[in-house]
Amino acid sequence: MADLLHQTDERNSAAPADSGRPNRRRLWALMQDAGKRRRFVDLALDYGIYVLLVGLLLYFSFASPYFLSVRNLFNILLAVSVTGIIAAGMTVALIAGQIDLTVGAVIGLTTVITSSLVYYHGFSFLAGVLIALVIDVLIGLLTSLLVVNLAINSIIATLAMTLVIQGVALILANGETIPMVNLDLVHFINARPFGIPIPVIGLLIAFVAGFILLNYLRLGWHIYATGGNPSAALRAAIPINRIYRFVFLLTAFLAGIGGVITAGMAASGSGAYGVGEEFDVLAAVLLGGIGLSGGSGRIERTLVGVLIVGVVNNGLVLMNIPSFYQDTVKGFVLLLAVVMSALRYKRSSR
Amino acid sequence: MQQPMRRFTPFLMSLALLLTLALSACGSTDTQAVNNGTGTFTPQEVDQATGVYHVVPVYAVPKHLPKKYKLAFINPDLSVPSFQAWSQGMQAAAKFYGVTLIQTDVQHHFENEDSAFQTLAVQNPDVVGAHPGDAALLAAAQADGIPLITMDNQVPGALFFGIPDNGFGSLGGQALATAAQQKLQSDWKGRNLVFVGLDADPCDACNARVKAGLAAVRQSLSVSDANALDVNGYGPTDHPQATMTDVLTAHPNDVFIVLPINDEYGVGALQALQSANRLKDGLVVTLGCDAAGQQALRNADYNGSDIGCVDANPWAEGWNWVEAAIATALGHNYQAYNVHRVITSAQINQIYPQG
Repeated sequence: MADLLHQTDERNSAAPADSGRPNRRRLWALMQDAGKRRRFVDLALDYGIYVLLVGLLLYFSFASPYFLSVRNLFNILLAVSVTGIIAAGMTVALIAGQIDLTVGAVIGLTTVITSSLVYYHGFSFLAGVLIALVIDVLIGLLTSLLVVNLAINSIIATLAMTLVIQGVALILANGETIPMVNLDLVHFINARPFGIPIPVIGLLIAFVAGFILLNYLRLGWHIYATGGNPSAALRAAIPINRIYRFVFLLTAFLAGIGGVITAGMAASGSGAYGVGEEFDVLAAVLLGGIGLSGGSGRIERTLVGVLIVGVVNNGLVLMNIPSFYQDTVKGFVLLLAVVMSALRYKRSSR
Repeated sequence: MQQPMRRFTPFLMSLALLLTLALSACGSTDTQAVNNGTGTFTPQEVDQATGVYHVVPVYAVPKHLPKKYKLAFINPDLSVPSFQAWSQGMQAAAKFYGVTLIQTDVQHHFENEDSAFQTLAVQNPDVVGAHPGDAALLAAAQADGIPLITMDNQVPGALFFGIPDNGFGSLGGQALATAAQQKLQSDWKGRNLVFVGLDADPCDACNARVKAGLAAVRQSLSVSDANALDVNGYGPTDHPQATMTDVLTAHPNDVFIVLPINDEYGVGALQALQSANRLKDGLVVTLGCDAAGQQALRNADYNGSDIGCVDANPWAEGWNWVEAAIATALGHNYQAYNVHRVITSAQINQIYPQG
């Protein structure tokens, strides 16, 4: 194309200036500028989320003298650890073309099971945690049966399961908050090996494992293929049902881990814990540009989305901004990220 | 063409980090003394400063403070009128006494109290408060050497300020029992009396109020277990209204005394009675006397059904919490908060003039 234009340009340069034919050299210059602009916009949309995070860090550093302390930076990571761990699993689920809304309810149920086994039945915290996690995985299995075997839409199936799980949690706890009388779990969750809080270590492990899964393992490629085009994946002999079962087991397990951390940090269990957490998780994942249609997305962008939510929450509190404004600001940030993601998708599909 | 951006991004991020690290070295801490005169603030000065709320101090705050104390409070949910009133009272008191107040709002996610504390703690507050608070929060505060004063909920080992839920519920129950006794000798003669505790689960403080209310009622009236309902109305006003509607449907011929956990639940119960055209079958006392409770008392439709509100005066409670926190920072004691009155429709405009 460029050669053709160049040749045309040479022929045109011999023509008289007032011949009325279009100036190809000028046209080529204009096209190059438009191309540069297009490439800049594409890059801005691709990397905008990183720039947004850096921008927020800069802004809050100016706005509050307490923001950039080591303690506060760890506070941000600690505050988003539960959401982040679950968001890692939700990313995998969304890439596979599924969604799991039970994660918040599973947190509450896990805290209730863990604390009630310790409080009422004298179990050790380790036994309480293991039993709770097994139950969480069984919940994931049940969800997968509904979605895979009965072909119920995952949004509907997991919404219904959420109500059931929350009810069970409230029944088990008798509507009360169960204190964690054995503090071994509390001490464990609050420990800081090498100065790093245990929940933050869990967050890093979740994302590193997710990154390896999605980028280096065959299972990860199958997850992308299944989410991108389930029919084509099936014809390519990819076991899509097994993929779906795996993602629901994964999200339930990671929600259980989130519940264990919550029980340790709150030193208690309650059916009210984790209510609405699924929306915080989805907000962070969508902020990272993971599409709801499946088949695409990068888990490291989810981590950036999680950090953006944590930075905004933390910074606004340090600035003493009332919580009502915080929700509005978070909404705008999410809106900005979602718009950028939509524009990026639109441009890439041209 | 991605190469320029690839080179540019790390540079931009490094520059940003360097700048912010440099900026982090610049901080300001306000350690200057606060001087409002000599002696202490008198009750008359506090009464004049607090207008319609007529706050009675729980501690005589000195006019000269050795430093500008920083008080932190973890609000349970600013969208709830009582908790919003706490916050407003605290802010007014902080301004009046010359201290700094920093707040955060956990929006009813009590499992995040510890995380909220950590965010406030980086600002080095002198005292921190919370509702309800828990053992984990206390441990975190103690680890930082910051005294914790819980509000309206007692946590073993922590300082306490506010309304003991038992006393709150008990006062409401006594008011209900007195009004019901008169009704049972006249309009309600021969009818079956049902106690309805409009509760919220899981909420230990709420459960305590309802249980204490029922116990107070049972000191004067005979209420069997079958006629003592503890129902969950968790949510904004329309939720307890729906719950109360279900109770009315299940008891078509009975009469009711209703003890809700707060004003909004009480208004929900009154709306349910009104919708069912059964206001004459119910007596409701609300707990708190915040805006919703005050308006219900002014509503002529509820005369005879809404017997009053137990006045928590949350705005004053917030103001007093600041006084308690200053006392704690100075190493002094403070008096307990006193809930002692039920405000009726005849008194509401005198005590809380509208507007």
